[in-house]
Amino acid sequence: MLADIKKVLKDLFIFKEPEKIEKFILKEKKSETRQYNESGNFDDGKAEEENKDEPKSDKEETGGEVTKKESSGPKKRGIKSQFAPITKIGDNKDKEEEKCQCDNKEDNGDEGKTSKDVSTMTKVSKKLSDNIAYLKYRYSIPDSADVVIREFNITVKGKTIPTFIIFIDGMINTDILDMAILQPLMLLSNMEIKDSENDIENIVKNRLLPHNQIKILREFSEIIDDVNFGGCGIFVDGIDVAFTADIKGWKSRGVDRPNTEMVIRGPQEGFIESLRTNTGLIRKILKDASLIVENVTVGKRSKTPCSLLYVKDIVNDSLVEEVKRRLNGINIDYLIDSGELEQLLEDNSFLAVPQIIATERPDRVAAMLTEGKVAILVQGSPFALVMPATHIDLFHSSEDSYIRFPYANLLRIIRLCAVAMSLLLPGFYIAITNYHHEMIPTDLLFAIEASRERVPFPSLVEILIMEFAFEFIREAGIRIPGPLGSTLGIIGGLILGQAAVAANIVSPIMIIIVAVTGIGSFAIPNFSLGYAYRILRFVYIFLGAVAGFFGITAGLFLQGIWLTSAKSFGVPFMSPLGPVTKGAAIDQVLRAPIWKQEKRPDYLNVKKSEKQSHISRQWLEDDKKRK
Amino acid sequence: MSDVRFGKQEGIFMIVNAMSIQLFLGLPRRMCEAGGPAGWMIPLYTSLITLVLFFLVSKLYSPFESKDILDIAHFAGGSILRVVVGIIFIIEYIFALSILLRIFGEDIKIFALNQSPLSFVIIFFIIVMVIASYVGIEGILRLNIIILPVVAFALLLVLFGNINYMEISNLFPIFGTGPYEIFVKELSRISIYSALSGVYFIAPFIGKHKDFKKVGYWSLIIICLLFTLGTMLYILVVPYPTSTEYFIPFLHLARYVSYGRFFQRIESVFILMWTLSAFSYLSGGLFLLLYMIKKTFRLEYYRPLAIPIAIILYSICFIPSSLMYSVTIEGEILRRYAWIVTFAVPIAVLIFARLVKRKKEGGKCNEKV
Repeated sequence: MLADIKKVLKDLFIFKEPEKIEKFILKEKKSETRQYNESGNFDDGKAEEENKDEPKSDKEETGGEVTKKESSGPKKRGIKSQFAPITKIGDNKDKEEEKCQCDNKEDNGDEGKTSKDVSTMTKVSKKLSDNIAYLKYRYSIPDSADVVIREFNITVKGKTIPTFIIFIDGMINTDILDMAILQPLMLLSNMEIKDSENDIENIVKNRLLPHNQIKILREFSEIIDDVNFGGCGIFVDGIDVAFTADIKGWKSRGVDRPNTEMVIRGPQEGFIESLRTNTGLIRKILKDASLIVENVTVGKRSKTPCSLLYVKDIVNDSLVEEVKRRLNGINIDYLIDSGELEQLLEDNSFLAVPQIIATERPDRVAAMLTEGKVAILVQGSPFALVMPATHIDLFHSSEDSYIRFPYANLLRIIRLCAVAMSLLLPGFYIAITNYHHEMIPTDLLFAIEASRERVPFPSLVEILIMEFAFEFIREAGIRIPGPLGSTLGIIGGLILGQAAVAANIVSPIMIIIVAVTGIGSFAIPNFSLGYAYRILRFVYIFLGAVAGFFGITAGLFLQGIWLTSAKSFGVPFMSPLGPVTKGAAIDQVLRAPIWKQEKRPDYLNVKKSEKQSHISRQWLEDDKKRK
Repeated sequence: MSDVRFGKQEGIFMIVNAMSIQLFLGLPRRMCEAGGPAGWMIPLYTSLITLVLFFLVSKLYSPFESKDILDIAHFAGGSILRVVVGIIFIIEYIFALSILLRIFGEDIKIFALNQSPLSFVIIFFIIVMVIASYVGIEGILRLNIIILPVVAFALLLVLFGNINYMEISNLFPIFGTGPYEIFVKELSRISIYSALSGVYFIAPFIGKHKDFKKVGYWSLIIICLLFTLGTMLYILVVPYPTSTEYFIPFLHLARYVSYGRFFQRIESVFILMWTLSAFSYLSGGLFLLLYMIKKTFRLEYYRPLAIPIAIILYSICFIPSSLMYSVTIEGEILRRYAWIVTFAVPIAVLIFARLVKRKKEGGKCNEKV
């Protein structure tokens, strides 16, 4: 015990040589490097043209492989980008593997053996019985009752060939299985095939499987992965490949309104748990061939499919590579939800505020993709992750874009005030009542004094009692299902508050403070940010009680330092306020009219910074000309 | 730290914040003590002199782009000169920071935390300074950009809130205590711009020489306006000789602000803004001090020094026996003689470095090192 305490103290106070960690820095645009400026050739137009002329991605330059790159010029930061060489993560192409040309003896090592030890098999055997045995071993059949193996025969060119399929009941669409797999194989195979092809594999693939997504695989690991994710494996005796068909058909809810980000004006669709449905929702909005949806698998056991989305000719390539690097570097067994993935990807787990935006809205994701950000969708989670995020982004709502800019600005100001109140109001109240009485107008002072006269507790204890009570009611309201939950919350709050005032435990003004604080926290658009400020509020209450406005100021300064030094995927977290970047007044703090939204955020260093032309309303120019 | 970069805007904000903190302390009162109703002239003409001096410095600095004064001293006179120059700046910064720490602490104690011991108040500053300097200069500078407009807003609030109390007659007699007192005896008040020495150490972070010049010039121009208008506002509202009695002038001006029965006595909000500026100044000052020590003694890391140096500052700040003594030291020593460290020493080092460069390169003294 003593040794542990000593170790903790040693770790805290004795300086350790810092690890040589090279933090990721978002690659700059060529036009913004110092060398470029010093040579006096800086020109916005030329920079844009040069960007267009440059190869679009590392992949095109190097033929598919990502190479290491250093930033150039005197503004060189002295950091080599040490992104791990990234192999192709996965693509949506059908894996058409060539039939093995090698000698049969080499790759059919299992064949011909008298021993039936199938546990060491890795590739499909030509003997159907070996394949069945291996799959029974892997899936522990008959212990796993939902894994179904259906054996039957097919007739090909007059020959009867044993065949079986394997699938997981409950994950597949049985109608598609029957109509597109079993029926063609069992019935249509009897029909005369007017083709000179004699190879069984080609006949089965080209003639007997009229399904839109068929893969030809040799490795059992890949076949099992597909079967585990709603596919059907088809094995034919005599060939050393298997076919997998994508016939997913598990039950999921339909596309519904988002739960956490409801808007009055704007689309009312939200993501669901199905990955392909979610990517479809985004593709429906962004009908752009440059929108890339890369497949990623996270989790050694769960093999959770994820999708990485970005717009190829806008996004900064170094950002995409960094996201891929982090995804590839996740070594976990299971990934269930995007919340877990968010915690595994974020820069700093101890920062109070989230550094990745989690949203349920496809339109919001699409809008952020067009700005040059990267999104990740996770199978089984209705929340998409978008990065990088800045602190200002967490205050934005998608509705800001859909309503006229004066209303949007009003809402943003209200939100900012709500956030400030939810964070600081209790602390300010404590500070004013304990240290800065002179600020309170005399009439209000009398009212406060009268209301607090009979309360036996100091204001700090009062506010802590009420804050905790409010948090308990809020948490209990979530756990209780249905309409009872919200009703209980309201009644609990009313009765608890009223009873507490009647019992002189707290003063009425404290109820108002806590209620306004709670309402302010609900006005925060970002769910995680609301939690962050709920925690920080207690810190400010404590600081206000200890040192008044001075303590609160110290807390604000430290929080400011904490946030300004933080980064989200190479982007300073307080951009564009600190550091100041272009476009702060266009759509960051306040929103300019939509026809002024000409540039993408400067801090993302995107390939194409212009997103609309200077004259985006040509009809107005035409009107002027007419006059 | 070699990979830290920031732009000229951040540099300007840093220097402006470092110098403007005096406005919230006793600068207007000291100007009134020196010049009477014409105290506003002192910051004006001293800033012109400072601009000329900085022009000289920037001209001498041109071949030493992206180098701080210690690098230049090393180039000129080897390790010995580097250490000597470094120690001079270190002593000046320790002196300034500890005195101002004491004054800030005492002011907070007087106006907000009367019952709290001084050590408790100052420890807040120390904790914030250590954490901020540990995090690094980037965070401090970025926060400066956010804080300064807020502080400027507070100043404007005080300005507009006191419009009703301004009297033009308070500016007369126009030359106050006399031209000799103002223009000759107070010439050493160019020391009120001593925080400009920070620009010599942030030169490597700024990079280009033209940005370095812009940081210096714009900082001085903004501060000149700030000091002149601030002092003038104070004199317009509080006539001489009453203006020499208020300890923290701007706090008293904030007290005068009232709109009806509801908005009165809002100086506590002013304390909030002013304290933010103080935190920013002290944190930046401690960082520069650590940076100076690191470069002077060629240390590899600066972070381990944060806590020990902060403890040293904390100890030194209790040496003056009272607040009055601290204010006297600040006004009569720091704000009179700091120009030697801010201008005389760098100019001497730069001239020496240019001569050495000329000797080494045989006449090509304008080429960059």
